[in-house]
Amino acid sequence: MRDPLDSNSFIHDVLLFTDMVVTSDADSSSDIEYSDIDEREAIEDGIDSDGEIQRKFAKGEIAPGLHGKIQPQTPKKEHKNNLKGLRNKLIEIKMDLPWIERFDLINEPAPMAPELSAEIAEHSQTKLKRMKGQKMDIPMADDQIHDDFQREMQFYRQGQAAVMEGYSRLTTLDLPTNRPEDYFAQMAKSDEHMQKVRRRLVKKQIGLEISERVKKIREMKKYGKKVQLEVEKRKQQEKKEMMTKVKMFRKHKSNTIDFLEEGKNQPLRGGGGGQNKPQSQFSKGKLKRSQKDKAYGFGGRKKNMKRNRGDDTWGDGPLASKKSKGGPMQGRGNKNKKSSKRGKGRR
Amino acid sequence: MGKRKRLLQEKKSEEEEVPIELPALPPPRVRDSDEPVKKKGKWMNRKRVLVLSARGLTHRCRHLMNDMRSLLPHSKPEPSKERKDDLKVINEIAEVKNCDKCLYFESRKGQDYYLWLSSIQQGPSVKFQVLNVHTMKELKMSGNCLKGSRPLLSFDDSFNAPHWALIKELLIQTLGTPNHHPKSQPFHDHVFTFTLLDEKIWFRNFEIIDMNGKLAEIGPRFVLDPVKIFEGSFGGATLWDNPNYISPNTHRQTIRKALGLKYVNKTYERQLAMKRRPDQLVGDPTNEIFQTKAPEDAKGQEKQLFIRKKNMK
Repeated sequence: MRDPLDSNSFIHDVLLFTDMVVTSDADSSSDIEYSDIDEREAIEDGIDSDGEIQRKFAKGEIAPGLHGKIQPQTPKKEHKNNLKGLRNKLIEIKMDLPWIERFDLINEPAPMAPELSAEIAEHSQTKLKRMKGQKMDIPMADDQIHDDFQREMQFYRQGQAAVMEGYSRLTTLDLPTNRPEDYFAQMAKSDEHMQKVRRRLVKKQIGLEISERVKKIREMKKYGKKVQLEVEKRKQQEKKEMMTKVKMFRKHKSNTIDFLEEGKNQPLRGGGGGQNKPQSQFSKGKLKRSQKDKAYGFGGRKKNMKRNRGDDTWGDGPLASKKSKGGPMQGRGNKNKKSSKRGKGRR
Repeated sequence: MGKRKRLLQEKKSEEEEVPIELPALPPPRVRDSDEPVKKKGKWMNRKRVLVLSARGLTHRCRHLMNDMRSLLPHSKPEPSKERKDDLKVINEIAEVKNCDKCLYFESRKGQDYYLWLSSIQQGPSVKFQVLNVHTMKELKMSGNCLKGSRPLLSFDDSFNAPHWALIKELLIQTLGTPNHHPKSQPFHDHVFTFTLLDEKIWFRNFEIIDMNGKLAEIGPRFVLDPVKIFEGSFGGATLWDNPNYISPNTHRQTIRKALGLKYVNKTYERQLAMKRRPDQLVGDPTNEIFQTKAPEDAKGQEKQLFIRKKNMK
């Protein structure tokens, strides 16, 4: 592309870079342009010949790749600051009026209330977390202007300090301060508007409460899941142990089947590990049985149970529709179904 | 029974011990409305503020102007001024209206707001850019105050440089309601705070809810970035101009340029990549070995190269 033997080549290189950043022309036409600029630059810098460049290069004044981006120089604007004029003007417009006419105060922010400082600390923590999440790296100290909460707090505290000072001054002047509750006069904001504001506040409050409640429920669910998993694990382990014991017995490695007796008493399901709670367990089992009986039926006539009926076959009776919905099953049809699902061996 | 009696006796003795003399209380700060209203004093400071705008104000700026009007009982309204008219016209209008201060709102390009604050007779005048405007109509501002009650003006302690001192004086004179103004109210229930932050003036308006310093914001809120201070009213020699001020147009321009440079850099990189790419892909010469024919396509002698595994079935 370019002649490598060209002694100007490294300058060429440099200029190519600088110009490309600014212009980004098409490649073919730009080559000529570069040479133009090259010449112009050479004349401007007083570099006429290759010898000059070589000498400069030897001195270390120029080197390949040292040239940075050319920045256009804008004329520096001079800013006016007529201190004398400003001071004169201030004296000119200043009116000698008592404080009661002016009501001006100079305040530093009031000391922070302890609960406020706690709130601020909390806020800064949450903000840091959020900023980490968004991968923003603005130091907190520089963030004073951009951190709405802190900034507004500063103004608020300044207002508080002003109230403290202003009210004490007003009382010394024997002037009324705060507006009494029963003083009715036109307000800056209309009643309708204030109603709107109130409604919004209530809405916000409700929203907060709801979100808090949802958060709590979510946490509880999480905890419940954990417990459930643990219980399941334990159950499986117990079953495994039992199976191994049974195997041992079968292989005549152990002579007793006491573990089976134990197993009867032991809670196999959902109970505490080795502790025996026969009575409560029993009652629980009974309860389950009774519930199951209620659901699937118990006793009654067993004759002709497995015979088909018209509505079963054709599927247009009320029972069929219940089945399809998967609702609570009762009566004989369900029993049939259950038995048909299981294999012979398992019955 | 005996116990109860003893208790009663103890109680009595306690009551007797309480000192009857009470410390002298300060006069009540809150006045009851049943009291007869004191006669108003003399209305000494008869300054008035002309509040007007240029035509074509955006809605937000218009709301801000109306808020200022409602907060300043000593203000005089005026229909908006034609934009092509010279600013000096305002001086004449103010003189006709008996005003000696002026707030003039202006919006450019429907997005940049400016506020002129001027002392009509002898100057000076300040041009501000108004940023971050929130009006009183916004629902998050929950405070309220009497219409026309006199505000306390609270300033930050950093208004010391000559230009800031001048601006501060102007703000006090314009935004403070004169004592005993006929439209003003006898109670003091709100504070204007002016804070210097980032070389800008931040304005807030708070309602005073109780003596202990509980406040609620009333609004409006805005930030004033001073551009220039002129000697006269709406003109004259420049006394000071803000070295940190960047006009919104240049600000937008720089953003746009930065975006443009991104594109330039991208294309430049792409071109370089094109150059770096070789014309022909020259790989390992031994790669030829792997360029084989599929057994189905093989003909004649080539067939012997491929021995297909017979199916085991």
